[in-house]
Amino acid sequence: MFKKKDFLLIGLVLLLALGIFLFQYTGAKDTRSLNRVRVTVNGAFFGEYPLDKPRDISILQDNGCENILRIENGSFYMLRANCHNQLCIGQGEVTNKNYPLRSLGTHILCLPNRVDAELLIENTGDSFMPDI
Amino acid sequence: MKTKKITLLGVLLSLMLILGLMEKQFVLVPGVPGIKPGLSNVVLMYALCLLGTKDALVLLLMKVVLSGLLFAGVSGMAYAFCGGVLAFVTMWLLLKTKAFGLPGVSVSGAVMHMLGQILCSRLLLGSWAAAAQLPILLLSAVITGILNGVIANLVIGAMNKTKLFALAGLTDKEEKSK
Repeated sequence: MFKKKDFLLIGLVLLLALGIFLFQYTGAKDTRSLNRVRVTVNGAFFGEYPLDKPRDISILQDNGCENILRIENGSFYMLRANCHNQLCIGQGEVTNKNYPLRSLGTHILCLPNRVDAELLIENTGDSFMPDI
Repeated sequence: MKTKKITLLGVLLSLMLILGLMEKQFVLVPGVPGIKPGLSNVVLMYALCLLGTKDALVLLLMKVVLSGLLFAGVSGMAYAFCGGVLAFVTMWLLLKTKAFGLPGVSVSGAVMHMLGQILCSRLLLGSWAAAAQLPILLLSAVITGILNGVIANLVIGAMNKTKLFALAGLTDKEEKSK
């Protein structure tokens, strides 16, 4: 059933997964939250909001797509969405602290409605650009 | 196309749709969108190994269109199409080399299916946001891929033994996966 190359392939994929995870995690540790969320709809800028003021953001689109993003206690999460799979609601909240270990990082994504909410962060570690 | 073959393809297609529908009823990993067992790939691999490339491709395309119309909607259809076609081509190529067993073929299919959907989200969403969960998606693709490969191997082995489709003159290739 299994052939030698199967294990090689599986090992390579696992190695790749581990590599990407370590790269993301060490990368995220050198960042600091800007305490702001940026909402993008259909790839276009929708709005930017501070996390210290609680509010609900309604994202209504012409095609009938509706999402409500709630901001409270320095975090944001998808409160309601009229998409079919409701995965964005299952993605939970993004806070200033939990983003390095979330599977979607700084994002909450609603793929059917093409809505992306992203916590803005800045790089605090050594710059990737070398000093000349 | 023989009537028997059309009937068989219809049965396989409904099997794929039912497996897909079943998988939608529960969330495997809470908080991580897009992880599912992908059991309908077992049916697809069965068709690739025992019926032939063309029939398998017909099955895949019909499944994408029908499951899009029934459950997933138009954007779901686009995602399924990108992932499905990429996975199909990869699995077909790997089967051709004959260097890989079904578990390996299945894992590569699962990985490419996921990559296809991430590429699709890049197109539709305009950002690489979905790529953030690559590590856990790759890990789950390996696990579900191995499972599906083992199941497909068992099913194909059992189906070969019955000689059912060989007698009906439906197989292009016999004993391919042993």
